Amino acid sequence: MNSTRVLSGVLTVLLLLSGCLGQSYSSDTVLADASSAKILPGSLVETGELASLLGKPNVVIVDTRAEDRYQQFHIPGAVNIPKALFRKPEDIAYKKENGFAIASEKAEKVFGEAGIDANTRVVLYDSVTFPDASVVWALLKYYGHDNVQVLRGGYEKWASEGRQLTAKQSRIEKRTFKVNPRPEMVATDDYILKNRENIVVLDMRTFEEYLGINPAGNPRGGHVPDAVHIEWVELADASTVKSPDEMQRVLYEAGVTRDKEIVTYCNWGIGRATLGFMVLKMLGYEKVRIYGGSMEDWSSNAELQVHDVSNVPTTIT
Amino acid sequence: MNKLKLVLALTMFIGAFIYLAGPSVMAAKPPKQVLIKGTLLSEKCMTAGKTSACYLEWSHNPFVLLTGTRQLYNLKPNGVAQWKLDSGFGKQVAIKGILNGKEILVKDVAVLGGKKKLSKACL
Repeated sequence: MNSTRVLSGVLTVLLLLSGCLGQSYSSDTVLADASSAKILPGSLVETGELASLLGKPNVVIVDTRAEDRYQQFHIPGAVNIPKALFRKPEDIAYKKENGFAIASEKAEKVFGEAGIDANTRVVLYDSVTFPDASVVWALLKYYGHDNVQVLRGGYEKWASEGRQLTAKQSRIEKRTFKVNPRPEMVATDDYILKNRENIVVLDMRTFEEYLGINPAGNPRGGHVPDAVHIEWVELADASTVKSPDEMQRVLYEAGVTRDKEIVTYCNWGIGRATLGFMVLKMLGYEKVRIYGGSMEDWSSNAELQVHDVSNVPTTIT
Repeated sequence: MNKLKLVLALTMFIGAFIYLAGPSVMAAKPPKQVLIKGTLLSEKCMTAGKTSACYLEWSHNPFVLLTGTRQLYNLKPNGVAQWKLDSGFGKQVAIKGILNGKEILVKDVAVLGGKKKLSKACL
């Protein structure tokens, strides 16, 4: 009799605990996220390793900072591919038609002239002030080139360690860069509208831009309805990206979990949106897209709703 | 003897269950990022009942957020720059943070405009 009581008591406790488990946030995947964060090996290159790669064949170092800064000083052998190169009128027109990036022909020209082909290991660096390495990182990935890494700590870390710098431009041997586009990397406004129940739209801009207090040159200030907000600096720091645990915590708190597809955006679709994409990929998130049109396209389309500070509640439910 | 075996088996079973499921149960309520807007004041303003106009001298931590629905949240800086919090004192603000009971761990704050209703205190 006593045994039966004990047994029924135990079963009751277990059932209650199971109930708690059933109500846990989102999924077990989410819970696992917080404790298993790591940056995929080979995503980042340390300054010491890059120093040993200088002058090596089949390694191309790309300085993604603005041209004037490159011309002052850069890492020896580096070629310059600044973000401004991808914001020409023809690129904006191409993006409007195709949802992202630059035309295949331009990718072949820019990357080929930088000496990149299928056998090239590309190491990118930028400045800690803006995530421009992620632009070239995402474009190379989009056009099918996976052998690409980012220098941890960027130009500032390299320079602060007293490593070699030069103002001299190297002679670049042109290569043939063949594109193999990955449209599955990109989301359009149609894609967002059709899949809004199953995706997390992630706004990487400042809080003021997200709220529409600062329209940042867009026709309408604000954000894509239901977009969650993580400013890019919450994921990046002087080490290029924050620690995996820190990044995972930030993502987890905002509801950016591996069980849903994530779509990142900013104002132009290159820069902060590509940083979000790059970080998520480095953390091993599989389902990630960049909304290339970003706020400049979304807010231009009068048929699309924009949420702003007026949608922020005064009550937490 | 049989009873002892049963109790032992149950103890092991419960132990194993707690070991395996315990962390998940403990972590069932994850921190949640929230957005909310209201007036940023200091605790001192609230205590003195100065919610519609407060003294400039009282613009220091601990800060609170008083919402339009008269909900009150204690604010604790958590990533936000102190100058950003300070700049919102006495103003309508939007806050992004982590909700922890009646406390918000503030990640960011944006001033929504409106004139500060502040005066110099006669101390």
